[in-house]
This record gives sequence, structure tokens and C-alpha cells, in this order.
Amino acid sequence: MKILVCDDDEALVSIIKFKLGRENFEEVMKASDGREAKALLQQHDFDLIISDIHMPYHSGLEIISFVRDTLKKQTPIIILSAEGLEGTILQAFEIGANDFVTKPFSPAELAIRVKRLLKR
Amino acid sequence: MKQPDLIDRLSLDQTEFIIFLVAAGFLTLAVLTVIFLFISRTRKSFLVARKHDMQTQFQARFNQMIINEVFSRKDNPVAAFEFQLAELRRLIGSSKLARQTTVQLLVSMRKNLSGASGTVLDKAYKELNGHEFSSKKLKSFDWKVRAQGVREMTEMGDDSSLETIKKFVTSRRLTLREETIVSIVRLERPVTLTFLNTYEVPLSNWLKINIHYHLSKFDVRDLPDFAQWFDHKNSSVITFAVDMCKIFRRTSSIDRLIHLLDHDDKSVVKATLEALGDLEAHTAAAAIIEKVELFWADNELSQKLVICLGRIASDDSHTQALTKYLEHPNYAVRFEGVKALANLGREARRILDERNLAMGESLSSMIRHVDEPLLR
Repeated sequence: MKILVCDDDEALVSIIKFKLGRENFEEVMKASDGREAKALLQQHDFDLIISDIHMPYHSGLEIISFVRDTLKKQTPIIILSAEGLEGTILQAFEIGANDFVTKPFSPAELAIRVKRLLKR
Repeated sequence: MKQPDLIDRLSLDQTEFIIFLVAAGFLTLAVLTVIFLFISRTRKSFLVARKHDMQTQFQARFNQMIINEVFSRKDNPVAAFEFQLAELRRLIGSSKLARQTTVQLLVSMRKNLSGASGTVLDKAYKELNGHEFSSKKLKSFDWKVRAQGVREMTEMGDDSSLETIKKFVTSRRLTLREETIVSIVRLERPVTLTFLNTYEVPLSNWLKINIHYHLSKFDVRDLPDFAQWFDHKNSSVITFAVDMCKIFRRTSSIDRLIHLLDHDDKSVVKATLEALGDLEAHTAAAAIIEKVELFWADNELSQKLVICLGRIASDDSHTQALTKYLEHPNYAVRFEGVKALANLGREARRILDERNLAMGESLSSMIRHVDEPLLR
């Protein structure tokens, strides 16, 4: 299973990578901004994407549109965001996100959501 | 007698010699500056690289701490925590840079993690004396360091130095002042917002948004009575209090809100009209109609008044007041008038269509606009 974690917060990416690694998701790649995320998405086939909403260059919402409309892929996407605004959450789901996690969150809960989406 | 020798050797006259000395001085200064810049940049790069190494090293420890793992005793999380803590203490040693890096990492992670992971980070902050490190910053002469200390303690939910932090609420430095206010809102229990009582400068939009964001996390019943600041001498505090009444739906404050329609400050009146409309304060309709003549010449206030009345109008006198605005000289006000009447029910709609005919169908384009479902 190949997972992409997109967030400009290095500490958070490190924790997510570590937690997913402990849950036997060995191949977890990271992108620290929207541009890097797009490049990795073009080069690799991921089984799941975890992305922050606010990132440099391209937002998480743009990443969803890129995956769904440009790459025409149905890869499950989990959106992370510090803002739990109803409008943002609805917009994310509307354009194709599969799940939405509001920061602060529990890494254990995120791992369960990942497993559920990957049906493991 | 060295000077004349040198002058002779270089075949310089007195003036040329002075110019030579000045040039040599400048050259020396330039070389020294370059050396200084080089050393300072090298040192900075070294510190950045060292900090990055430390971050990676500490992050690995924190990851294991959070996920409750240790190589020796997988079955015992307490031992795991203590083990990682001892390792971190050893790595940090007495280095100030290492301590700062640790606290920064903890703050950064705490913002994003909740539940058991958040509790582990809070505990680590205490055990690693992060509190002492941050509270020492509050005593610094540099306001930036003080602001950093306030931010760190706030993010880690440490209220032990709240009384010291409160003293910065009157600071001349905007950043420190705003960090302090956010800190008080987040750490003080119960939430009283008493700092507003003596707040004299305008509340910035950044601050208003942040206070609202943190207040929205509390149970509405635990929030203070915002109407207590309606007679504050600082208009921005009144506007903020009115906005909070609107957002947290304080219908009990409607009677006191109505009095603010007489306030001298236009921004307060605008906020009040918005709040009364949002709170659907039907009891305020008569008081609002009384202001029609007074606000008529002011386009912004007229527009707010029409929107507000459109939301709370319930009888013929209210509809009549709205009809008057169909002839307002300002387009935006007329448009709001059309919109309000179009949405007020059958009788109001009939009046609107009649007035449109009487006015030579000059309102037709606006009526079509408000009738278009995609433009609503």
C-alpha cells in the first residue's frame, strides 16, 4: 500500500508517517507543498492520499480536483484542516474528498480512518 | 618621520596622501565587513543545520513517545514514556538551542494533536521543564521574546503564569498585546473577557477573528454577557460585543441593542442593524422605522436598515416603510428594497409590482434579478 501525506508541517508529517508505519503501511511518501504533491501524484500510483487544506502553491482542495478531474483517479482522499468550517468541509466532500479530519486530531483515529478507507 | 618617507616613496603630496589614507581606511573597513558577514552567515547556517539535526533527532523520540513505543518494553507505556524522556533529557543537556528546539517541536505538535497524544505532549512539556523555559521568556526585555513565551505557554495550555501574562495586555507593542489577549481568552477560566473593560485602542480584525474562534469552542452558556460592553467608550469594543451577540444569538440583549441605534459612531449602528436583522428582532421594527428619516441620506446605513427591516417586518407599516426605499437615490439601497419586498409575502409583492408600474417599470430589471433562483 502506497500512501501520500501532503502537509507543510514537518512535525505532523513525521508523526503520521511514523504511526502509519507502525500500522504496517510501509510505503508512506511525503510532500511538503502542493507543487511537490502534484509532481508525486503524476509519478506514482497511490492507494490513499492524506492532505492538508492550507499548503503553499496548491491547496488541499486543488489537490482533490487535480486527482479527480485531471488524473481521473478515484484514489481515496482524507483532508486535514485546522478550520472546521462547515462550508470548507462541504466543499471538500463535494469535489471528491472521502473523509475530513479536523485538527487537532488523534493519530490513532486517523490510522483507523485510513484502514477503513483501504478496507483493511 | 615615517610619514614624509612614505609620501616621498609614493610621490604623493600632502592632499593625495590624506586621500590615500582615507581610501585605505575604507578598504580595511570593507574587508572587515565582508569577514564579519561571512562569519555571521556561516554561524547562522551552522545553527540552522544543527537545529534541523536536533529536530530530526527529537522528533523521532517524540514520535515513539506519542505512539507509546519503546524498543525494550513494548508492553509498558509508562516505562516507554520515561525511557524516551530520559533520552531526550540526555540529548538536550544544557543547550539553550536544544531546549528551544524541543519547546518549538512540542508547540507545533500540540497544535495538531488531541486525545491521548496531546496528553503525552503536555506531560512531556512539564517533565522537560518547558514551562520554566517559556516563563523565563516573560521576563525578557525584548518584547519579541516575551511574545514567544506567551505563545508557547498558550499553545501548551499552561496557565501557571497567566497573572504575569495579563500584565502585557497594555503593552505598546501590538503583537505582544494581541498574543496576550488570545492567551487570556484561551487560558482564563471562567471566560470573563474583563480585559475589554479597560481596552482603549481599536480591536484589530485579526484579534476579533481569533477571539471569536476561541470563544466558539466554549459552551454558549459559559460565555459572558456581551451587552455589558455596549456603553464602552471604545467603539471597536462595542462593535465586537454587538457582533458576538449576533453570532452567539443573544436574543436577551435585543432591548439593549435597540438603544445602540442612537450611537454616534456609524460602525456601531451598522453592526447593530446587522445584529437585529440576524437575531430576527421583531420587537425592534418600530425603533428601526423611526430612524428611516435620520439615516436616509446615508447610503450605507439605509442599505443596512432595509436589509434588517426586510428580515423582521411583520405588518403593513413595516411594508410601507420598505416601499419608500424603492425611490431611494442610491441603486444598492433600491435593490435591497426590491429584494426585501419580493421576499416578504404575497401582499408585499403586490405592492412592489404596483409601484413598479407606477414608476414606469424602472424596477423591472431588479425584480427579474431577485426572482432569478440562480442569483439568490
